[in-house]
Amino acid sequence: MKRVTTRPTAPSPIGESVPRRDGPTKVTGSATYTVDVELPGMAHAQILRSPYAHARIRSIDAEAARRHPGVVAVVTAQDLPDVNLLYGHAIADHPLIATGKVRFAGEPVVGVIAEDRATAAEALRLIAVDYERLPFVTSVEEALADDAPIIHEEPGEQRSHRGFEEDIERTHPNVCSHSRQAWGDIDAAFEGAHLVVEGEYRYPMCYAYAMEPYTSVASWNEGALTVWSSAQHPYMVRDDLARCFGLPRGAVRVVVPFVGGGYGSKSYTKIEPLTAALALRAGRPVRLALTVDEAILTTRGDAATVRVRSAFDADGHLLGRHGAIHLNTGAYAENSPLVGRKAANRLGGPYRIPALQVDCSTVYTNTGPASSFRGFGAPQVTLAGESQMDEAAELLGLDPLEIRRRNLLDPGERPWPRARGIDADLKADLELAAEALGWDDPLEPGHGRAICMSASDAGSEPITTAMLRVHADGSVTVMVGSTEIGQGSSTVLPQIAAGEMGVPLDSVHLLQSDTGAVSYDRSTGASRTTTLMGLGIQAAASDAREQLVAWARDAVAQNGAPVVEERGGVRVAGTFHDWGSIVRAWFGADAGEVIGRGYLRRSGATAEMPPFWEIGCVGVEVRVDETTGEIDVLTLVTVGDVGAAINPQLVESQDVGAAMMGLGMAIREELVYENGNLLNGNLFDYRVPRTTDVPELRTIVVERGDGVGVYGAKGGGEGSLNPVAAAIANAVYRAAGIRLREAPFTPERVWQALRERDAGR
Amino acid sequence: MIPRFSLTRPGSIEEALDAFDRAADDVAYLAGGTELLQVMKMGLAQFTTLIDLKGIAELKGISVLPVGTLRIGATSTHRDIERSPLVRERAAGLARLESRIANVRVRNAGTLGGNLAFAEPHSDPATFLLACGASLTLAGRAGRRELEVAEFAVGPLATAREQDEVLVEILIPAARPGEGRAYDKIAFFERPAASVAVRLTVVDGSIADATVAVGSLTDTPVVVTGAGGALQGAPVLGDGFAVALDAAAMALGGVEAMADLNGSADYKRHLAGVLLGRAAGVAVREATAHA
Ligand SMILES: Cc1cc2nc3c(=O)[nH]c(=O)nc-3n(C[C@H](O)[C@H](O)[C@H](O)COP(=O)(O)OP(=O)(O)OC[C@H]3O[C@@H](n4cnc5c(N)ncnc54)[C@H](O)[C@@H]3O)c2cc1C
Repeated sequence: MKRVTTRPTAPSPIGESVPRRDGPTKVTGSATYTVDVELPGMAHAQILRSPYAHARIRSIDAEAARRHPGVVAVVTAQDLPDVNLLYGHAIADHPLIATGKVRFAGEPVVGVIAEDRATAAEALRLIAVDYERLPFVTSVEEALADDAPIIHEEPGEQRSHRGFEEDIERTHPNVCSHSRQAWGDIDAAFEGAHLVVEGEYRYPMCYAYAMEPYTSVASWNEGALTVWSSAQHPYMVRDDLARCFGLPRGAVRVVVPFVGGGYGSKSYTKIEPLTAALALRAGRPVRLALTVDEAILTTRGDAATVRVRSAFDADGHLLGRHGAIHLNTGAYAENSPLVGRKAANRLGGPYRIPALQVDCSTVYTNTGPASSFRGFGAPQVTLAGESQMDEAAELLGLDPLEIRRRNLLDPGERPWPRARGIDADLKADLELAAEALGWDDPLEPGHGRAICMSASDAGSEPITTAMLRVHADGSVTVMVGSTEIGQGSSTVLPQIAAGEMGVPLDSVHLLQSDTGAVSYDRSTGASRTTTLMGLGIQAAASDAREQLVAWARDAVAQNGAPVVEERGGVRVAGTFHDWGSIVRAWFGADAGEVIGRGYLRRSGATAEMPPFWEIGCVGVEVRVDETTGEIDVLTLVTVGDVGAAINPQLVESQDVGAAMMGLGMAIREELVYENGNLLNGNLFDYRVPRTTDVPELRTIVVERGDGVGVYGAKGGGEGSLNPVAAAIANAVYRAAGIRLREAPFTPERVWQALRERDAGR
Repeated sequence: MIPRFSLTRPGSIEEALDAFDRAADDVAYLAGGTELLQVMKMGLAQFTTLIDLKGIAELKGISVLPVGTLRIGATSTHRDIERSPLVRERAAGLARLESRIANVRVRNAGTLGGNLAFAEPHSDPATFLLACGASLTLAGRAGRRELEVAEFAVGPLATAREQDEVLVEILIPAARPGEGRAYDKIAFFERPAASVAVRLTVVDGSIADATVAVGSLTDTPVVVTGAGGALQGAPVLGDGFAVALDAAAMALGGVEAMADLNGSADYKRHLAGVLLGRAAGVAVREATAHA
């Protein structure tokens, strides 16, 4: 890892690569995941899923299953008249269990609760469902045909937590949402153009593969509901549960134990309402633990078709960009309307574009529902945008780096009117990547290099609270609603607290993600936790210190002696008093504590949206095997431009992990539907990258202190995924002279392109 | 979720056959379970009784018979075979092939017998053994019989094995003087996209006879006679060899390949052609070293 640091210094241990706090617990197997939660009297659920992509449910015969020994309850939608079955934070279109019809193969139809999983699984086989099959669509093209079967007869209720303001218009009954991003005079831009490049690019339907499949445990107690779940956003889940069961939010407690990976796939509500409904009918606590195969059917990433035209002047300056994006969103909206909004925002990339018009529709199809997935629209559109930069460079006779230098936004420049100015030095990042990749070094035959970039409006909403308690012995408890999903928040947040309070790291303890115990945070996503929760903790620490200084004046200083704040305490008349001693003095006992509070909203430093820009800057060198069509990614350069790296080692692992995820989707991963069924919904046939696929790594962590967060921090962890497919496509073009526009770039697609190239020669 | 089943652990083939007779209809032999348990988990087959063959001494072990034939007991794991000095010495291509199957966990549990009895069309060893002219022994109520590997697999997941028959051993003939045997595959997922095994004999600098087997393209691995024929008579050095390889690859054009997640029929035939070139080169080197 190379570090480039120009930010102001920060108090230790901020900026230090301290070891992960959750590491030993996880590798020794002692971490408690949701599946390890055991409650007295707990029963186990299994789900009968639809075998058909689109069908009306005529009847369900579950009598034999109900009578099966060991079965506690069998639950269908008809058994839940007292529950609001529809959930969804953007559009409430998703029944927690199929009501009258199924919209994708794999949709939950019946839940069986039994004394153990095996008995529940046996009972599933005793259930007969009579389906009337309906015509189905699995692609956007089919879904938007005039005579396409309609997937949602009634549009779902639009909800407030969509993350964007505009209304959702439906131009076709199968359009789930539509977003437009536009500025400048687009027609004039294209009229005056020296060069227009045009193309259609496709990004596949992918699965995030978190090692832990979705798991929830639900327990009802005197009208209050507690749910343990593998959820990224416990507070959002709480709000959906309150709505489904008609409860006040305070009566719902969502607890998140250790989580085995998220990558966006565990954001928002998933199986929690279903588990809670099953527990309600069972009259007992219920655990629902999905398999990986079921998890694949629960959420995936949005597949995209991106048609783009870019207009350039003779010097390679971008004049305008026009885009039409269609996302294959699957059977339910989930978070795709927001993914669509972001895709529209992100097609412009990190460039100065005088005029832009991008329309993005998310489209319902009879496939598993798509939702948030690391990068969130950016990987999909960056393939298109960054391919066009290289295509234009070639036609204009420019070096791919040079065309980027001419168009990259300057620090502080606004990508679009009213957006926050870019909080990064993009040109400097590009040069760092070029140097690390050896841009000017001679290339072996069959090899190619490329560098691609992206800038994402990230951070979601700055709606965050934090609590920091200093105990009588001086130790500190930090309480946050953000989740440790493997990204390292349980290490980084204590580092910030320790630095801000001036206390040793091992005296800081963190409590996360329990809506009954910790205070509100909107979500753990959009790379926001270190930046926004970091600010929350900084504010809570400052609030705690302020109170402690006042308490010192009150209870420590004699006769109005001046109290001077120092690191970790105060000095009064030459004597140092640490925070714990102030608490003890104020309460007059070895007892009590101070509570510091931090609040963050759209105001002050976080008034402008987005809260920060997330930068992607990735370089690759590839080799193309012309006999088989295989692409070998030999070198991978990542530039983690994170403003301030609270823990550089964790930034590096996030960058490498993100880039490897991007590499998988670029060359191999794709969920394939045939006749309405998922063909490769398992880990045999859906291959994610392995350690043996990792290229030679050259990682750079850049800290210029230019973010809105503590000491200039801003988000990371998604940026290095976004440009990977484009970088590989552009590098393959340089290696073999073939332009790949449809990811994944499978060996066969490469081989076909090579044959077309040779036929054209 | 694996449905409930009962497990018996016979100590001999006799006991295994008795257990088979006693069991109800839905009974199966179990070796490493890497296929069988998966199939049961996915609900594709249901067995209420499993007869575990791993405790039967006669099904174990790797040895060389007096005639030079390599005998591999059916419950030898991929790992046993990969690490066996006898296999490395007498069928180096098989040892290499075994070391490239799946991952070490699967190789530690999965057996050669289970692989052949499952008859997955993308099997690595089945393709190699076919080219080598290997055979196998089955033991059932009706007695013992020996079958060519070529006669054993009759379709995807289907073999000539009677339900009660236990696969006892796999027999690989000793290499003749001047013989080379090589195998190569290309895989994008767990199993190969295409694979090719070549057995050839080199006499006086040219190929006296050759067998080419192709795996993963068709329902069962197949011998492509035209491809072997195209190599026959070719010199092992110079342009003549390259010309023969091209002709052999052309002959693969006639293979009725099936499209799958790895690619189209055309592409898979193309891959087989590439692999044929690689495997033939290795086989020639081995043959010349043995001459
Ligand atoms: C992740 C993974 C990757 C794989 N990759 C590859 C690969 O790259 N190449 C490849 O060739 N294979 C591959 N395989 C397949 C692997 O080789 C087989 O799973 C294994 O060899 C099967 O042996 P087993 O002992 O586990 O069989 P089991 O699962 O125990 O049995 C399989 C079948 O054979 C029957 N059977 C087993 N032994 C006998 C016997 N002695 N007599 C009669 N019937 C018997 C059983 O009844 C059952 O029907 C892979 C498997 C996995 C899980």
